[in-house]
Amino acid sequence: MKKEPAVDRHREFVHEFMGVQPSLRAYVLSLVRNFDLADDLLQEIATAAWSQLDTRDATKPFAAWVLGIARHKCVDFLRSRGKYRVVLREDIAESLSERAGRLSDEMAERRKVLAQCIEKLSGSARDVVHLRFGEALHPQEIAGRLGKSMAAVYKILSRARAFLVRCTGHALSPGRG
Amino acid sequence: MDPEKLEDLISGYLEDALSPEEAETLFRELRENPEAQRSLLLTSEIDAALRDFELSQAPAGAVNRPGTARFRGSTAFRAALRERGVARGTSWKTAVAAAGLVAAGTLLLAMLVSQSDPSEVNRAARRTKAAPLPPPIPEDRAQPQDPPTRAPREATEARLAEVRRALEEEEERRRRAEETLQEDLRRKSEEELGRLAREFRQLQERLANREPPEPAKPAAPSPPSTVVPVAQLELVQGQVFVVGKGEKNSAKEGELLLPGQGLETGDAGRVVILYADKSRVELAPGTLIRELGDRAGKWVDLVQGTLRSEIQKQPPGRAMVISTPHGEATVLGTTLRIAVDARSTLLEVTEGRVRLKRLSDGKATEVTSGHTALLATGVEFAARPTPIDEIFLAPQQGTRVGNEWRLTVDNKASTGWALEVPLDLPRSQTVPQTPLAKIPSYVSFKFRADANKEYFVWVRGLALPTPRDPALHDAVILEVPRCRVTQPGFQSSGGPQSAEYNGFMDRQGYGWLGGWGASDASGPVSMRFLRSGEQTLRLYAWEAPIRIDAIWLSTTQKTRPADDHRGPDSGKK
Repeated sequence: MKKEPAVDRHREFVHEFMGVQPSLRAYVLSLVRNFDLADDLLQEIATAAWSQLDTRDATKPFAAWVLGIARHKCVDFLRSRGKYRVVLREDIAESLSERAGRLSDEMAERRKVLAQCIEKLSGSARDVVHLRFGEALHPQEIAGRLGKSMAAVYKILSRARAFLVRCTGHALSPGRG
Repeated sequence: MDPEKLEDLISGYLEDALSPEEAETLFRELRENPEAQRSLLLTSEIDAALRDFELSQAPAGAVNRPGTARFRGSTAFRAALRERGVARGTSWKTAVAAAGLVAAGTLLLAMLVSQSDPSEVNRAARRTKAAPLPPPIPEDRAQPQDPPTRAPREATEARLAEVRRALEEEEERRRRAEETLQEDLRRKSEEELGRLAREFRQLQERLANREPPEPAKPAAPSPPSTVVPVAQLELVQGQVFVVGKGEKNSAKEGELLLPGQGLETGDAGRVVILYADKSRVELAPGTLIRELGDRAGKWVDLVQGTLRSEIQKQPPGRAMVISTPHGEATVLGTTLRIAVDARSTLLEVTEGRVRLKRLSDGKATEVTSGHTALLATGVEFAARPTPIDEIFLAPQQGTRVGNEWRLTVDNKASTGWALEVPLDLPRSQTVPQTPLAKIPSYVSFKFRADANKEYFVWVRGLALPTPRDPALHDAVILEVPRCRVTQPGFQSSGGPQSAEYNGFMDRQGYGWLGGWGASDASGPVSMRFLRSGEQTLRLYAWEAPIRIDAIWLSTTQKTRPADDHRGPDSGKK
């Protein structure tokens, strides 16, 4: 059965959006630093991108276009909330969006090896990671639960993140991180 | 900059734990060093991947946890994966792959709002196949903080071999589940697309139809019928059944409800139904809905029990109808509660407007915000103001002013969210004390209350750890204009229109206070509003760091609630 052109158009859009999603999500998260807000914004960005598809300049990369939409959405959001004491400056947000567009493929590749890297974390680091990302506990609560100081929890989180960045990078090409 | 220092700054930034000076250092580095930008983005991606992974690992009952419940649209996706044995009890590798699907599902289900053809997921999901193991990284580099606690090498290797075997099996199961899922998604998206196309054509015809309608033509052979789901079960707790066509099956979270199906909740059952337009209907225990459908709009046939709903604004001509044995409520977009027993139907409208029709004589009345109507024999059929006896103010309802307060996720809080002041604030120790009017930051709540009723006011809070004297860092003040505030045995530091809640440090974790100290001897703060209708209450941090979970104004709760009590609805679930 012949499909309507709209279906093909939509399929193409979804395909491109899927490709850029890892970097898009990382970018949004780097600005709002809250998973739920990031997911909400990601949906808004997808909807906005779909509705603005007709106005898109097809000669320019899809990633740059959609990250531009994301930048506007995030900056608007941060301005409207004004609850964050420390918010990335807009010039940095812009610069980050340009860089994020070039990282999509790499991020997707890194995800493939993340599981193996998580297995290499020590037991206590895994516990902290689980409580932080699975249970959504604040570092202070993690500290209370594990009998550690808050500074220690922050340090473990910092080391675990850095390790996972290095480990996933190393798996892609030795020496990279 | 030293790489370790940069890592700490990025991690601290993502935790929102940097001082302004540290933040400026990081921002300067981000401006000057492209590698710093790359590190920030990659670390954010690691956070996102860890979150996805952990969500995919969560057991079925945990999906309603704060944070996960808001993972919009993906519940069905996760449930489908679980059902096919993918997400639960899987290995790290499989779970990460499934997590990728969860993220894809979020996007794709969002896209269903307009049009969708998510067959691309197949390709995207295929890209998540495992890559070779990265070379091992010395543990001391990975975790300098942790002393090595290694299991015997042989046991570890045996376990790894076992895990690898399980991985291969689960990879195959995942692949099969993925194919089935893609087929489901493709079918649903095509149905949705077809429906939209039909509606669009109808709309075009209606708009263009300036000419008399053509005589009816013989009906063309109808295309094969497709069944479009009415709604989805967002939350299932306790005994909940999907009923219809003589069948009664246990309901599952994420399950799609088809036209003609109904729901029944057991004595401790609770279910939340989510429609595509984000309207929600919640059924209390002991409720029976014979049928949910979509006729000329949403349709709910409520036979007995209690239903609460938050209905988005419905399109013209497609109002939602809730039918009961005694009448029909036509809803255009509102928040309401409707309770049915053998003799009566009680409708309470919190927000919006509902047209309620009595079946016995066809008489109808409009029930507006803050009003109630009762359909029962021998009772006058009219809307009356709803008595307001219990008011529960949750963190999300407040409007934050200034930069002291922030909203934070907290799974120990009643609603999963808490208001937090992380700053070190011993305002009670300043001389002279700061008047409330000079405090630039507060949380403002707007709510409705009745005049001349005595409300006992409770605050549930948590004193956060502080290196200083905890007794000087555990107080808040409520300020309420146009109200007579009584604080037995104590004068609030905020003046006569206020009440001081001081002494959260005495509770173990979250606890309720009725005013000064945990002592119950003097009784709780009480408030009498001078006029009915909308009221305003402001919450100020007096001694911090502190978290506030809820404020509860009750006409009946005269004694301090147990610390694990979650407010007026907690006993009704």
